[in-house]
Amino acid sequence: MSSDDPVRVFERFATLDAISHGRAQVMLGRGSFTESFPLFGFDLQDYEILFEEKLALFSKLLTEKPVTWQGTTRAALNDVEIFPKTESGQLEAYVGVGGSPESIIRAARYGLPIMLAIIGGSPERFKPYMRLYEKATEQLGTPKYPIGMHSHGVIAPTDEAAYDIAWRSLRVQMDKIGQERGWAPMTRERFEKEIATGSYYVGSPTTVAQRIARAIKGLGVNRFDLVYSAGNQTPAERQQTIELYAKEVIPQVRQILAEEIND
Amino acid sequence: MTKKIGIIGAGKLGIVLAQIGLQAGYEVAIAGSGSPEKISLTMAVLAPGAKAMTSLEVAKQNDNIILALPLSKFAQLDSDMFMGKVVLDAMNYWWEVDGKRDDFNNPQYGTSELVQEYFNSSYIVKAFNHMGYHDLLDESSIVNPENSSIKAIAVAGDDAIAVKKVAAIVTDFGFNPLILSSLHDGLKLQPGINTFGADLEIDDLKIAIDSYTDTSFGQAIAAAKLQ
Repeated sequence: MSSDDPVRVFERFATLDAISHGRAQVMLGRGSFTESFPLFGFDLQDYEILFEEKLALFSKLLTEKPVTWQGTTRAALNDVEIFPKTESGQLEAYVGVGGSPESIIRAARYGLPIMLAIIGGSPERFKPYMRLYEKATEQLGTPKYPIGMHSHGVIAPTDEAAYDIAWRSLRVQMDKIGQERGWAPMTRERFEKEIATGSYYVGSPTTVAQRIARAIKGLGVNRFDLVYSAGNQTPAERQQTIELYAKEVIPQVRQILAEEIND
Repeated sequence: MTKKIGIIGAGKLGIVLAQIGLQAGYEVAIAGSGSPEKISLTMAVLAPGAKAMTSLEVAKQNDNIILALPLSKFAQLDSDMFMGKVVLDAMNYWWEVDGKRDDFNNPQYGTSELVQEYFNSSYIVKAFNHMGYHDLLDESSIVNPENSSIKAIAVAGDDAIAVKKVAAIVTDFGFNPLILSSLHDGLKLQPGINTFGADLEIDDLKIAIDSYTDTSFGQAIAAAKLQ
């Protein structure tokens, strides 16, 4: 959101919400990719203030009441109504955080739920950040919402098929980003570790369901989003992941979690 | 006497180094970019025991200081605030944060050399820069004594005594120090070299450093040396 305009973001998502019968969800991010800053005339030196101000304004827009706001990063608003309004009266919005403690406290301050962007390593690494969010809401007296996470994944009928797709799509994309930032390419050992115990949910529906259930339990999150579209996957491969995720993985995850509760 | 370490920068890396330092039995002082109050909750939850204070206080109270702030921000500190002290430079050029900077991507001159030039009354030693911050926490044998192997952290500096002190800190923090010949050699640990992101045992890290010319930035470093 740092290089976008909060009013336009709200207008677009409120429109999407209307078209989709209330299914729109906004993930607000400070932006770990900053290519858009020079594109729209923003200075990276203003990285902090841009997000801080825009999140402050957006949290006001979410009330769907007349907004009065003043800052340094866009024109002031004086008691104006923003349209369209949503049917539910509250657009669902989250702040995506990648491990910056400041971002977590900021989300707590504006009373917004957080989504943990976990793109590598053991998901349990994020446990302390969840504690930070909880402590921050307690200290600030803001609502404590359930926490969600997202990670990359590829699902196919067999572990081998999913591995092959991920190796040539997800890994290649990660390496491409890494190369732009000067990071060494991923080794096969690292890739396999990510699949086995890290943050790539790659495999058959049963394998992926077990990994997701373990992550949900290990971290104590209430929501898991699968990022299914990494790299040069074909539309058919993406569709396969979506279909297997919905038809097989999600029911299996629910079953595993329900069984453990009954135990 | 309790060992002490000061950390400038309370972001992801600064917090991880504070956590490791505490685990290693160090007294840890840490400063963020704002007031100590701004990071006190973060520290209380993520690194309980680390003392949040101003960067000036951190500098005053510690002989060994880690720089863990965005590289583009170091010149906002007073150039003589670490006078006579050993300063571990864990910073890297990360253009997504620092913006495009040719001086941070110069094959003739490492970023730690720029840091040394700026803090010219201090002893700059490059350390803890090449391993990802999450990996540092996972791989530290002090934090995770059950780890099957000890990973290496490269240490590059010009002052032999300062390098020795930093190597001792690296050891205390649960890693094997791999000492390079000069601060200039720290170029081989920068983004664009295959050592960047390296989470390796000492022999493998040595191999990665020796094969620095595998990448185009490494070739530019080698070419600059011949000039």
